[in-house]
Amino acid sequence: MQRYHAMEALFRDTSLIAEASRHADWRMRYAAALAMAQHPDPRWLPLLARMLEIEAQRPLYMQPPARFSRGTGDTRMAEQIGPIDVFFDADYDDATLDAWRCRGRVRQAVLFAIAAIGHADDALLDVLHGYIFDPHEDFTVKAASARALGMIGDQRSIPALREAQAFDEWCTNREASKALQRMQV
Amino acid sequence: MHPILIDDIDQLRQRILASDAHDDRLRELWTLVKGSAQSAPFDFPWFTPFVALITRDPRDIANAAEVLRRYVGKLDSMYFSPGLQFHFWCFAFPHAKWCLYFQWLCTLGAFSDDEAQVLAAQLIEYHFVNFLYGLRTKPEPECVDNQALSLALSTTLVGYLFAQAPHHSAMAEIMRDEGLRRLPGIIGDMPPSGYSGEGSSYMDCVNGPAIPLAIELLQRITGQTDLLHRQLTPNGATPYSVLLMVAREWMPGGLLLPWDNYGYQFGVRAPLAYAARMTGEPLFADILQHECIWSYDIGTGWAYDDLVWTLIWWPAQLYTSDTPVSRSWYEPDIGGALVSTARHYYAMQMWDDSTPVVPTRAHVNPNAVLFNGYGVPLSADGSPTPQGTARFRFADTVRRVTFFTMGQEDEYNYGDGCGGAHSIMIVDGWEGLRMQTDAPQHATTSADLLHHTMVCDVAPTYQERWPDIVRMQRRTTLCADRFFIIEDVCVATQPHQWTTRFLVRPSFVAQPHGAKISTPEGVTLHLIPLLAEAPMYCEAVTGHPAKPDAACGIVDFVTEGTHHHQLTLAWIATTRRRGAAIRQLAAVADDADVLTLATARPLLAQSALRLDMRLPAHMEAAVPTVKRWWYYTSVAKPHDAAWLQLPLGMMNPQLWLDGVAIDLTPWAVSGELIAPHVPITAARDAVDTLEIVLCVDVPISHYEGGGDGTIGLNGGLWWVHPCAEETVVSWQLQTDQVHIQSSERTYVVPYHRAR
Repeated sequence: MQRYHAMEALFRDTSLIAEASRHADWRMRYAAALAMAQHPDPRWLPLLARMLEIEAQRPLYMQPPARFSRGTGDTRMAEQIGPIDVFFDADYDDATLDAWRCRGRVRQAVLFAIAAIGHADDALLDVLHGYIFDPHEDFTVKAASARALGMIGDQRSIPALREAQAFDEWCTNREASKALQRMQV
Repeated sequence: MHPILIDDIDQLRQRILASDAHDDRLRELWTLVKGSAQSAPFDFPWFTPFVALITRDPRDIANAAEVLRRYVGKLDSMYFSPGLQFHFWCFAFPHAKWCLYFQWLCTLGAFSDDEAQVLAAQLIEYHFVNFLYGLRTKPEPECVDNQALSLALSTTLVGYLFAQAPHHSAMAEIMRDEGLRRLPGIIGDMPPSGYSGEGSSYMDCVNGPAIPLAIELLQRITGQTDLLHRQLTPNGATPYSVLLMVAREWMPGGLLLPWDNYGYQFGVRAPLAYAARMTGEPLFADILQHECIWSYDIGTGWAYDDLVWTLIWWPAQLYTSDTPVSRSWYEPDIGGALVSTARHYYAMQMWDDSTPVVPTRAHVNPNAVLFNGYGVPLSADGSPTPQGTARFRFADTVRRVTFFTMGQEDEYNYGDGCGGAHSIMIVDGWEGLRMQTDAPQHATTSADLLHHTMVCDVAPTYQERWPDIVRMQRRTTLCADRFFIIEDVCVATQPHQWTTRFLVRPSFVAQPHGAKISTPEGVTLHLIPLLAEAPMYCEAVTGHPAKPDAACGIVDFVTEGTHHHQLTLAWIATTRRRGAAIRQLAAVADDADVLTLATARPLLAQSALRLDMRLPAHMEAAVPTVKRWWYYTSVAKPHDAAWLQLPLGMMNPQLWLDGVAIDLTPWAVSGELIAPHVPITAARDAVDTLEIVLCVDVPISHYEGGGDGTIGLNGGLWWVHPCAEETVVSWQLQTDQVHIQSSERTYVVPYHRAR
């Protein structure tokens, strides 16, 4: 309940956003990025860059396949009610498990905030390009990165957007095509 | 506080509770839903909150509250599933339903204020971090499909529920506004036909059920009325057109069109009930009354609550028509169906767009035709068995993806989505026919339903590879309310090999002319070329499509040159007629799964319970929800009865006729969709009575179909008799008419060949 109320507060009081962007709980950081997108302002950019640095330190995509007490982890578990327990091949610490829960959620929220602002410095641009070229990155992040690059409109993003356009996943290649179109390439 | 999305809960309760006094479908449905929820509340959890809402019984309310707690209890584990992480739309829609059911339960005082606050916080936060994230992944505005619709609808609904008192959540307000911004456009940008191009599965299980909820929700939020018939974007679909297309996917006999990826399946009912209620149109009532399978349970929007919403939206009156409702239809960008008056003869011709490059879902089926006779499917379409088949696996149709998995690589063959796996015209033997660019796929189309004919030229689909092709036209005509003529005209400036292909159900029957199949249900389809006899090739394929037979036959008529003109007579007939029903079988529950034929017999002889086997026992009568049931009867055998029609959808059936075990494995797959006809062997022809013992399992939870739909036995037991098949004896194609002499009569029908 405490976290829920803290997340709620971010959308009522912008003065809380900066601290939340550095919060230990990724859900708070996710909400902070959404709150920034609600009030787009270039002054958020250093905080957003810092949020991406935090994410870069986390093992977001290292999860091994899990076993479940019922179901196999696929979409058919959507219709189930609980209890459903999850098991891994080894014990993992809470920070690791929390990174696996999060995956690209904070990154996507940050990218949407950057898109709303429409600016990025060179270092941030490099990070965004990196998401597209990283074969291990989730498509949710690749698509958001392509979208943000289109909003920023820097011609140096064209190779990355071409790469995204050729990616065999519809949301990503669609956002890349739109970004290139927006940049009149 | 009123339960949201229910117009008048007092009136609904009164109507449903009063149904106990009537002998109608509403009572039957309520008995089924209530019985399931009360006897097994955690195995039928999607029924439990609604039953609590109607009965207000403290025990039902307590069970429903516990179901909700268990749902919230599973949420954290789902983070570690590829399902939630990569297919978030599948989890968003059911999450929104549980949020709605939470609100319903709060109106019943199912939770203390403190517990309600904690549960609400968990439900809101989960949607915010998972499904708002999912919705934003979908490109706007061009992503228009079941996934985007699920995400937008669920986000709007959850936002609407929790933005208001007592929660006043800011995160909910964001979700409501984001969902509301996108939802009308996603519905409105569906094609004017209402067909999303995703096949019956997603049209019926997601888009159809989402539309009524979306309309009701949008009307409540915006204060608008009559959104059902309003175009939500210029030139796009109305919500009504989506529901109409859902209805049009039903074929005679109750199966949905097998077009696109998922093949034959049963349909859901709530969208039809809503459409019948809101429009009063007889088409919807007709399907509800004559085609629906009520023991069928499948996730609608990944939630097993189709029957709940069917009850909520069941019309006060089912409007019927004095004349049979025409089931023929035509949509200029999709295709159409021609159906005889008595619905014995059905053909659909389709030219809906396929997915370019990788046609996994919207298959390449330009001008494909599908036949159905006497309520039985005759054509083969869909996707192969899970084991796969090499028949439609081509060197360039294998796709490997990693973006839906956690570190693994998944391999898909999309060859079964290409042209060759469909009843189309094939050029130069290229079965891998598919588009590489997002370009128009058909040219002119027209139909004259008064004269039962439709035509389409799909040359653009072929011109991408063969620019010299000028015309690829197919016309389907229902003649004399009795037979079909499929006329193909292909024209190119360079010579090609042309193949008119039909994919049909097993099995072939030897014929001097053309190709003929006879299905296990005794319905025949005879394909006869009416012009010159083109070389014909028949092939039996194992493993494609998965249902109903895990097999099919391919019939190819092949010519070469710059022109191809083929007229194919499609003659459908039956060799059997259904006789009397066998009712009032003695029944015994085998709750410990211990009975054998020997030990069951004396119990059956003593049992006073009599059932008709039209539905699983617990849906047919007030009996416990037990998995295994035994049935017995000894009945006078009508003269010349040659088969027993068993209920369809039986799980693990065992049958003894006069004490002799009958092998039911031939119907192991098809029996899920089509009622088996079991021959009564010659040895039993002489006897006057027949002793029938059936042992069959029924589903005792929503989940026994593994996500592909759970069906309990359905349709009862019937005698089936042989009948004289009306066969084609001779034919003659004259300048302006076709002359068919059958074994029963002469048909002379005007027919003007294409020029």
